[in-house]
Amino acid sequence: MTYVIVGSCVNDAVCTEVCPVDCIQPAPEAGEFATTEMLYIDPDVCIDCKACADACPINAIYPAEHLPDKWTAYREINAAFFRQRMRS
Amino acid sequence: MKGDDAGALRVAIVGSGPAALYTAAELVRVGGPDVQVNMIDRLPTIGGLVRAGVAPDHADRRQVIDVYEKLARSGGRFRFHGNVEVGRHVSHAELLAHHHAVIYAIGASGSRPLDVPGANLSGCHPSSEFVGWYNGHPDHADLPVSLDCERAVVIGNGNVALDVARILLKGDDALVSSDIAAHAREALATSRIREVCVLGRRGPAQAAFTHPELLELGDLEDVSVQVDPAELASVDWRSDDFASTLRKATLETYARSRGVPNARRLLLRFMVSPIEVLGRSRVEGLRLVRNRLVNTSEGRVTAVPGERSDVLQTGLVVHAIGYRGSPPQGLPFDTASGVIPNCGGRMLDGPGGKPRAGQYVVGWIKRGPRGVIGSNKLCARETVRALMQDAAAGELPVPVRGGESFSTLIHARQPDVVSYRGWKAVDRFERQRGQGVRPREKLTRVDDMLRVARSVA
Amino acid sequence: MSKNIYTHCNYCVSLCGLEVEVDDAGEEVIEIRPDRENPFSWVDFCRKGKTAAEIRNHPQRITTPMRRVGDRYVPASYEEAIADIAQRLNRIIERDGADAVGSYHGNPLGHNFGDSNLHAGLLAAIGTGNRFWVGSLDQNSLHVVQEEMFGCELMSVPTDVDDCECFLLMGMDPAVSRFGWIEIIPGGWKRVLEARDRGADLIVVDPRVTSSSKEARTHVLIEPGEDWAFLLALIKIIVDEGWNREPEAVPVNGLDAFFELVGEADLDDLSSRCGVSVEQLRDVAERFAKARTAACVSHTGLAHSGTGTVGEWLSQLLNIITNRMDMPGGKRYERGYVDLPKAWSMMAPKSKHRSRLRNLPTVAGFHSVAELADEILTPGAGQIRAMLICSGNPVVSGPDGDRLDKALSELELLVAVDIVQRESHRHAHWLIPGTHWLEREGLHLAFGSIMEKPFAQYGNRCVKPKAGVREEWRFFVDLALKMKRPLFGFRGINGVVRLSRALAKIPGLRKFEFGPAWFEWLMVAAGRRVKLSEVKRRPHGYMYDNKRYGDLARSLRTTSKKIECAPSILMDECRRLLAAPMPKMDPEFPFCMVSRRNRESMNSWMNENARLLQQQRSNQVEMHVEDMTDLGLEDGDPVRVSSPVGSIELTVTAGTGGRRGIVTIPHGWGSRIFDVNAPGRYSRWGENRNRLVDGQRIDPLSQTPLLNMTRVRVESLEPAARQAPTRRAVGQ
Repeated sequence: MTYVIVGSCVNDAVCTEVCPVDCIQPAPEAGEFATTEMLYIDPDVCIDCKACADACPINAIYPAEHLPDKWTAYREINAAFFRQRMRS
Repeated sequence: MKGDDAGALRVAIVGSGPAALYTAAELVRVGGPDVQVNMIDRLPTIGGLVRAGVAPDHADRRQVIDVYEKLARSGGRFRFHGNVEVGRHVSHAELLAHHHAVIYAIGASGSRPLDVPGANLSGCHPSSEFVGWYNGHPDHADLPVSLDCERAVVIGNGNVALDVARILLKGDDALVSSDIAAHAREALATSRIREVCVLGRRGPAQAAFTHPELLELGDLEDVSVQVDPAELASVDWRSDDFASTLRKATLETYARSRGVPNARRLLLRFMVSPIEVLGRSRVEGLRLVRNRLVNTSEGRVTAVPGERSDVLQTGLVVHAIGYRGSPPQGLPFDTASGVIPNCGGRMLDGPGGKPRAGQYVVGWIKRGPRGVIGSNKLCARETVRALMQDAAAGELPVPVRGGESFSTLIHARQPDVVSYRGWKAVDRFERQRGQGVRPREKLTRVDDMLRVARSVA
Repeated sequence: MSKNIYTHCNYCVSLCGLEVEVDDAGEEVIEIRPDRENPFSWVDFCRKGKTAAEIRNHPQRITTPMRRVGDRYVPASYEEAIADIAQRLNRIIERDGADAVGSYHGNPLGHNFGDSNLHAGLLAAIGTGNRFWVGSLDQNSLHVVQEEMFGCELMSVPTDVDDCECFLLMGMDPAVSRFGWIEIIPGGWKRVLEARDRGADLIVVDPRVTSSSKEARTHVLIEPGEDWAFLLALIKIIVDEGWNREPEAVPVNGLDAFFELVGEADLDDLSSRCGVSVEQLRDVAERFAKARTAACVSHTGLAHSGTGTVGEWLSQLLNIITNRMDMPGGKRYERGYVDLPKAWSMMAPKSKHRSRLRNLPTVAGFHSVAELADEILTPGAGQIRAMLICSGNPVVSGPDGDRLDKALSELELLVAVDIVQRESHRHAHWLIPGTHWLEREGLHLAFGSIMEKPFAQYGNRCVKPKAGVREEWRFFVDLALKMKRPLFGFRGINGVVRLSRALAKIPGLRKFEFGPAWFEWLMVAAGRRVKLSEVKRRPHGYMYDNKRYGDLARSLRTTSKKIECAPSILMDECRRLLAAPMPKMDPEFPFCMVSRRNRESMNSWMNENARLLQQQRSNQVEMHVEDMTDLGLEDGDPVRVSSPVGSIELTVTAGTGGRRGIVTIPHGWGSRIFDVNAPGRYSRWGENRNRLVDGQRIDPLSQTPLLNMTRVRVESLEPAARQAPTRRAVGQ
């Protein structure tokens, strides 16, 4: 499965510090970080370890299969971010 | 770095919003028990714009304050001095005398003014005041807000503008479990507003809102979100920008939807600017002009007003066209950019000038009012890195006064100083008042806060 | 350019498969990623594994033997070190006897079979009975119970997770520390949650609210140290109600005698002791007994209390009397690919030695760390005068560290083998470089028999040891040779070793050199289940067979060849606990101190790694918010936590709930790491809470100090505090 960052993300980015597989982008070191609206989890790389969800200070990360109704669109939004990256 | 008896580095932080808290937490992270922090805020509460700016229906984001406050406290050497105003109770020079370093994290909590005739009419509010009003900020608790009209207009289309629109259109069942100020909730429960127009000066591709905020408008109950398809027709979307792709898709969805009859309406309008607020003693309407978009030589897109103007009838105007910092007394300030001149967080004596030893900035007063809450974290790390480099290089001035004398001074100048314990008493009081129905019910008067804070003194 | 090496992590028993990208020269690690092709383990991959190279490249890493001269350390060659150490050890042995040389080793050595085995060989050469290790601070209770019940000190029966329909988890927080302990179940917690989502029952027993307890259907808030009473109560209810079943898969002995003991217990008394209502006890008992399949799992939370051995025994019995033992969805024994008791005895040879002062037996061949300080400090025949400490930090991991530190300072000779110089090594006369698992290769011969599936993976070396660093086993062998004492106590073996080395100098005969590879080959060949070459051919790991049930019955080593359910030492101790009055709350020390795991910390090491522990660089005292309110404490206030033997200063923070009267302080913090090249310089993070733990009071069977049951008081240092708590200081 995967974890999903939802729309309340405030770019705190502690999730990127605890992720063991660097699947959360953009990372703070990336130039893109300064202008990104939120952070995204790559569903193909995520290993479901939950470190990000535990660390997020505002509970903006959910396992894909337990996304609350108001946030279900974000599963595809997270995935789409990485798809469009691959294309460009 | 020459010492102090306990060998501790003493740092004052002015402000208590996210930038201030990230900074205090970072000082613990890299400095450990060797850093003592005195955090000062004009209000008795901690939180800055996270407490007073983030919308009540986004209150889960306020938890970031709780986490970094805890981290700041975890070093055991964090003190809060609330209800203390720098420039009134204690001077900048006195802060310097008692600390190795002073960091200004005072943010940019004022509004850019609406520079059109009639902007001072009753019923036309800068967002800082309107948002402060519904968030229970003591400075704005008494704002005379009238919701006795059918249409409200929000000028600007950044996230703050959308916050205002949402709050105006959320029913009481949605707001009852939020931490909106009680007086605002009561007023909104009897609001006559059926339509909110959100006006953007430029086009859909330039609007300052972010996609999550745009998307969530569609979840408003009993509200049709409307976008004129004609305004989307000739947009030059930058196709390589992910957020743009999402934004285009969502706006097109709103443009296509036919709306629900009898629902209230939220209209997103683009390429329109106000040129006059109309009315005698109160707002009665807004004169608007259509804009066209022009590409500048630097690659920016700018709005050029056209000839045609319309009048939009309205009884409530909120302008949310950006935040603005105000210059703290006696400190250098760059009016053009609204920041204290600095280089990587080291305060300078003027734009491009020399660094002022031991003086730093962080957050919006350093970078300008841009970015989101989390943007302050890297900002804080940069400032703290500079500070620690300067400490290691022996470039921080030695405070002339000893450690404990700062508290003594503050108590003498402001007997009603609110300590960390006092703030936690207020915090707990507000949460308990929420009674499990809402996360908290805010106190909106400083006197009430002081009364609660005193109970644990 | 770069290449990928496939191996597995060796920090914890999840043994996550790794893809380690290294430079072409094989000298530096570029990146560490999980090996998604490993058929057994990789989903537990965490930041500890990801940042392993930071520890290997530790800025204070010791890369050459260092000799103490005055108050500084001076580099020396291995030859000089070995010659000096051999001579000094021999002198001490000749003067005072072999017991005058003691040893201690910790977990990282235990994770490398070859090093452990040859370390044991060295100790046998020395002939000392004063061997100590981390077991008495970790898993001794399990060794005692497994020895008594199954006839071998290591004969774990891993949880058979996927088909289990009722999990009763005690003294563990797998959401944070993964599911393994002395059972290897990679991805175990995830699979428990999946089972739960399919309808399985999940009951977590813990005095604290934890990430794991939050996922449970029922969280039992137990009084610390009373797991035995809880388990006995469950068993009593199950037996009284007739919900127990005959164990199908294993022959048992002594159940009647055990049931007699059960009959002697009073349910209300047990309920009062463990703080769980009779109603809840009944509910849990019924759910567990009636589930189609179920497993009771008990880990360090039990082991670290003064009653842990009885608790562990009763946990096994609960499984036995409900027919979960070696049954699908219960506990399943994996016979592995070597003779387990033999392999175990190579790492932990049995010893009949009794401690000089307290006359205590060994457990798994080692004495309790709680005795170490006294054995060094107390004069008399058999007093320890020299110590060899390998990959261990007993001053911080063990009780009453101040006293042990003083004892270590009085030794004639202290030799420490480690990656860096830690708190316990600060009086070392010799520092010998240690290696990191990234630099080592080998097959762990004991691990294969405590895994939940038939799996074997050869751990491949990813990078060469830092220049000049020799693997620990070489040092152990060289030392024995230099001392002219026979490795393993076998006369003539040293000659064989020398001959093999001479042979190995001939090109083409290198593999004939004596070393761990010999034992690997011999043991795997004798096990006749897999071929070592087949294992090595599969760098992603080798699932060499399918699971099967019923091997436990065939593998028991008790005289009766049955599971002994009522061993006298456990029955007697249980009766003693039943007869003892309920512990009265001491108003001077009203709180019970327990520990916890943090996700990114191995507790006693890696806390200094800034890329691992990013957010918070110290431990704190976690308290129930109502207890804090009673004491007038706010989050972040500095406090002093004291026990009868010591005190520490930390800041307090509110926990997430759970039982009142408990303070949680993670252990393993507060060790200095010294810069051997800059005398006086060190780094230190957090506080060592084991300084509060008394070395005198131990579980009588496991000999484990009361790591999770020490009583303390908490005093506010705010606003009276003049000096801040010294959680970290960089020495000048």
